[in-house]
Amino acid sequence: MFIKRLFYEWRVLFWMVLVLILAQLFFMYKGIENVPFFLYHMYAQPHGHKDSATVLLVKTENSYINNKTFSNRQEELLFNAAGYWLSLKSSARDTILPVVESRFKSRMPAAMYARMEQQLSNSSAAIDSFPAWWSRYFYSIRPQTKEPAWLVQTRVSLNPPYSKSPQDSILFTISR
Amino acid sequence: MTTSHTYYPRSFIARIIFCWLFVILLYFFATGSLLSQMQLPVTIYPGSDNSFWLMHILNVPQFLLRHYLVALLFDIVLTSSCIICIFVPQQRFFTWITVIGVWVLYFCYCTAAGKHYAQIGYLLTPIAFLAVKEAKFSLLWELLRYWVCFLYVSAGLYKLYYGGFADGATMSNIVAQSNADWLPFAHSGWQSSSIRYFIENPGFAQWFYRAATLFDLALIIGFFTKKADKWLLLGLLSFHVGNYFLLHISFVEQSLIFAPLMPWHKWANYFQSIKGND
Repeated sequence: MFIKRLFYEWRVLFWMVLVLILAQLFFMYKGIENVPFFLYHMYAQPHGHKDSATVLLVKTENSYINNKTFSNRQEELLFNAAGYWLSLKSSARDTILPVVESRFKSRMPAAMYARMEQQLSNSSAAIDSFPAWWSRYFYSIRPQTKEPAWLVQTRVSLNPPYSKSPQDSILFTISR
Repeated sequence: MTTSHTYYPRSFIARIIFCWLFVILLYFFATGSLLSQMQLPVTIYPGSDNSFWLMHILNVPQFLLRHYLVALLFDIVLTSSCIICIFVPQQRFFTWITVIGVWVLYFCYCTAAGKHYAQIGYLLTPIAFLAVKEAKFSLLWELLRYWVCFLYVSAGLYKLYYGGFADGATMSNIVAQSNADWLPFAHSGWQSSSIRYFIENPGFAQWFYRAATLFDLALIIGFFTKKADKWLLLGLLSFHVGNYFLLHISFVEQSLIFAPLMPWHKWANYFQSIKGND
């Protein structure tokens, strides 16, 4: 048995593994994410039917860029980050702050707490400069895009023929 | 206590794994996602993960992501360390740098992308090489194999526990929602037809979800025997290929998670015999 072998051959690792197993079980029980104690519950919950979904696309003068022409990592950096930015923009305060508050506000000195809040949240200046960063990153991976482009939010029907709504809401102009 | 275990050929495995990791870093480079290529992201996403919080409180991702020259130096050091690990596998110093480097890169990438990703094969596998002696490395390598088995088994259990497995249309809804930005562009081709068929036939699609759950759960066999490893590997590979074609989830970073299930003794013996014949 492996664990017995570990006990006899590398005692320190044996105890470390034991602690790590207990920690993993604890975090799974509490449902707390704590890298490297990964909770592999992606797509585990039932997904209900939706008639349409909101998507972000790059619109050029004559067409749209298919998001899947970006690599997975580029797509994540561009469109996930943009989705997160939208949620930050639409909230009165950073979405992380209520969580920070519930975990630490009453448990540490005010100055230390203020510093923590600052380190974990996005300033309004950061949120305002997001379109400039996004544009910079977009053109660094798509330097061949010559025509004007915009990041738009739109809806796609999830019923056949899966068409895109003709209405787009422009989030920002992608400027060089 | 005396043991009769055959140790894993550490140097042989290290050369291949760090070559593999190097290819992953090249993929990051080609896709503009090394630290210095991210164009100094401005927003951060610590999520609700305490480890991410600690890193952000220590200012690590913010500092690296907002200073181009530091990010460039980081990329150079990480890539060079990885290359050194290929050519000089019997050392610990550069292995530490590589392991710390890929973890820091993971933290920075996730915070810039606004999501914490589960593509972690490239983070886990190099850890085993922190042990230099073959006896200790073999223990870590086996431990890693159990960790991989555990991760997938837990993924299967979560699907049972949260109800995705028993639901009647989860797979078709996942496929529809994951492809929402792609469907208006994909009017023809076998991938488009297959995806549309999955969306429009929830009962059929759900059997794929259940099969995937069973693939996940099958990794429990790995806790009792290594004899089924090649079948488990095949199952894992099919699982990820399926994810790639149906959900567009690439598994380049995750691919290193397959390594502990591979027949390293057999391959080492084979290469040894070729060398002997020369």
